[in-house]
Amino acid sequence: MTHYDADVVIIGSGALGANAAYQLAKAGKSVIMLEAGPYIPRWKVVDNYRNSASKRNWCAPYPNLPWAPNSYSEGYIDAQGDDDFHYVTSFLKVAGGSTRHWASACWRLLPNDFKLKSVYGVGRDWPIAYEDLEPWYLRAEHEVGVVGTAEEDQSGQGRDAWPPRSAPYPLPPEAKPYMVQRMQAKLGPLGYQVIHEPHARVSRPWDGRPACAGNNNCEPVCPIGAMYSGDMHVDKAVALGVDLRTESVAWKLEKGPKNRIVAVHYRKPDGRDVRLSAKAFVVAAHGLESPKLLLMSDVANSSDQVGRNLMDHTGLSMTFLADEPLWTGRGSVQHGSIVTRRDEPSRAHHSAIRYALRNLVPNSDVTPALLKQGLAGRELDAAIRDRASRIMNISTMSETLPSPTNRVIPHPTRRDGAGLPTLLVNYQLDSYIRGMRPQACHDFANFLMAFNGEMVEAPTGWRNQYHIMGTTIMGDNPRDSVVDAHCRSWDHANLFIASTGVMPTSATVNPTLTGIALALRLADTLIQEL
Amino acid sequence: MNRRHFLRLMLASGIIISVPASGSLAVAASEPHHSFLRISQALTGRQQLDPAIGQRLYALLTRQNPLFPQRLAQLARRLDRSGEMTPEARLAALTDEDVDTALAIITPWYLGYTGNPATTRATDDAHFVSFLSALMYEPTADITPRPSYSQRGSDYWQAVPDGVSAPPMPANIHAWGEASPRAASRIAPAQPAWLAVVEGRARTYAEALRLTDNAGDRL
Repeated sequence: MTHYDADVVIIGSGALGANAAYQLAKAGKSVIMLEAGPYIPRWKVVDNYRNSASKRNWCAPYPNLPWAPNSYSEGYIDAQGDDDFHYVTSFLKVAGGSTRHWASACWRLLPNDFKLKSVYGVGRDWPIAYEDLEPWYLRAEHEVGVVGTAEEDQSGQGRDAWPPRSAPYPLPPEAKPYMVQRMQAKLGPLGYQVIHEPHARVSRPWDGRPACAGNNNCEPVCPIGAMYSGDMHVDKAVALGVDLRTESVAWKLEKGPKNRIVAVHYRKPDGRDVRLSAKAFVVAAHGLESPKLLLMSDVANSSDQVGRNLMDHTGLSMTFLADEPLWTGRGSVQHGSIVTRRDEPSRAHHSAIRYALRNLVPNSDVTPALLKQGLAGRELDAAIRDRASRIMNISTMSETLPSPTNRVIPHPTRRDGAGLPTLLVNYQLDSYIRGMRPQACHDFANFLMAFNGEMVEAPTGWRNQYHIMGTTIMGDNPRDSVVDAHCRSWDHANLFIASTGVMPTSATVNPTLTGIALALRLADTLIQEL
Repeated sequence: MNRRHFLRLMLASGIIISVPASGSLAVAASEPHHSFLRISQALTGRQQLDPAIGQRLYALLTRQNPLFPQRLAQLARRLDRSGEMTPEARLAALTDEDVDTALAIITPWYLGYTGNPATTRATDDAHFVSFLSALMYEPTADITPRPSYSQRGSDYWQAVPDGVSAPPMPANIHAWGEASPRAASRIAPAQPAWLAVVEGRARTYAEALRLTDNAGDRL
């Protein structure tokens, strides 16, 4: 009988990997979970944040090590593309992954988001429907503690509650900030529906977490642990016996007979390599790093689609001063959203749009310019208060389509501190995304008019939202997709991918909840098979 | 809250004070950071500056610019002579070089750092000075938290902020869900002048209107 080091080895300890690990451990499976970075407790991140000069740098309070560099390491991501857009993304390499510094929006996709090709004639369809994933959406919402209302039309099309739910959200909505009340009061009559944004900053004590107290510090770290982050499931998984191995950088998946994956090789900071065998492997190493590992290992790529179809919610952002005090910064960093453009017929021609309302304490945004103007004393203080009370930022979450030429590959020449390839990204904006600009400008003009706004930063440049999808794309055809409907590699029956990279459509919402739902479903598949 | 009311509040609370700059600002060679603190008080209009932060900031500025102690001494002499009573008047009376020195002092007291923090790179030239004591948070402390521990409890954010007179709104504006107001069924057309501002063709609405033939009708 073959000896295995574990039933399952999971590569990556982010929210997706850790949720899969927890379910497998609960079912009695032995699990080893590899993590490139270290484990850092919440209190230490808070301490680092409070002592950092770069408080708007959401990677800064987290470790950034030569063998586990994050997205902001000099030269780690070599991004190539358009002259008018520089690809930037933001991820961490620590136990718990990049949800350590997210803001925790927990949207479900809409039924139409699963069948973009069938309904609108563009992009791709998923091999599963919304209804297939619904039970796992609900489970994911319970795992992370999602706050929401089941009474609103999240598609923004003026119908009753949508999408359909088999049960209410686990937690009721938080209070609506005054700023959001003003947005709704002024933009509603212009046709823009402001609704609640579901999220994982619990509104009541939940699962050992305190209720959100509006510290306005979701990014880069919730100081009180009211907001969900992946380390919570890392801790739960470890408590059930999962063997978490930090500072262990997976660099090769080893193929064996019958196209099965027989082992993973990982490297320690001192250069030592370790080989682990298992019955099954789950790659959950982040939407850019997972395809890199597959390509470095020359596995799972008979379709030639690994690393391709990279998507984000690349869009536009406008900052203005309203003619009345709105006082962003009371509550969490985001509440509410404008969803009217989320599922319109124009999706056949250009990106759908969802508008995000920024709710940061803005003092560090408004003060530098006032100092540069030479204001001082009472004039300066009064100007800070005035600007801080009136500044507002609204940005688009715009749908991008999967394009094979938008891709990530292991860098041909650059190496990180472990001697492993860094990332080379090519990302260009096509006519589908660029085509939404007139509609966005139309809407931005209405937003500006509603508040008789004074422009601070016009929506003229493109920016990413750091939501990575498509790079290990799911489909029903092994010739043009990487995994099947169960997140299983078409090429290797015991290799699974837990990543938002499997998503064939990007829609207009933060993809993490969908990723967790898929990871829970994947874990169920493995539990049945092992 | 209007500006006059706000200033009265700041004065009454002792946050902003008028510090007389009477001869005491001159930099003594033995204890330059004491003079640095007094100059900082004169330039920020605040007496309650933390001496430990002052010492750290003085050391930082000196490390970043070896000429800083000389510039500081020069600035102190100018301020002594000026006789102005408020930070804004003192700043206005200075030469360009002294203004630069003054802003090098004021800026980190307000922002809590020196240099330029990067938002999407791991390395930058920024240095930590202070957090909770950063002066930029003082003018809004009654309304918004210094981001990390707000101590206001859950859901404080629903109320109309102190000092704001909220325009009339639908009674159910607080609600999420079914009870929340529905938007109009059709999206309004955009006005060309506002569109011009959004598209960067005009900096202000007034400028955009001047570009139009007919009060925003056509551009």
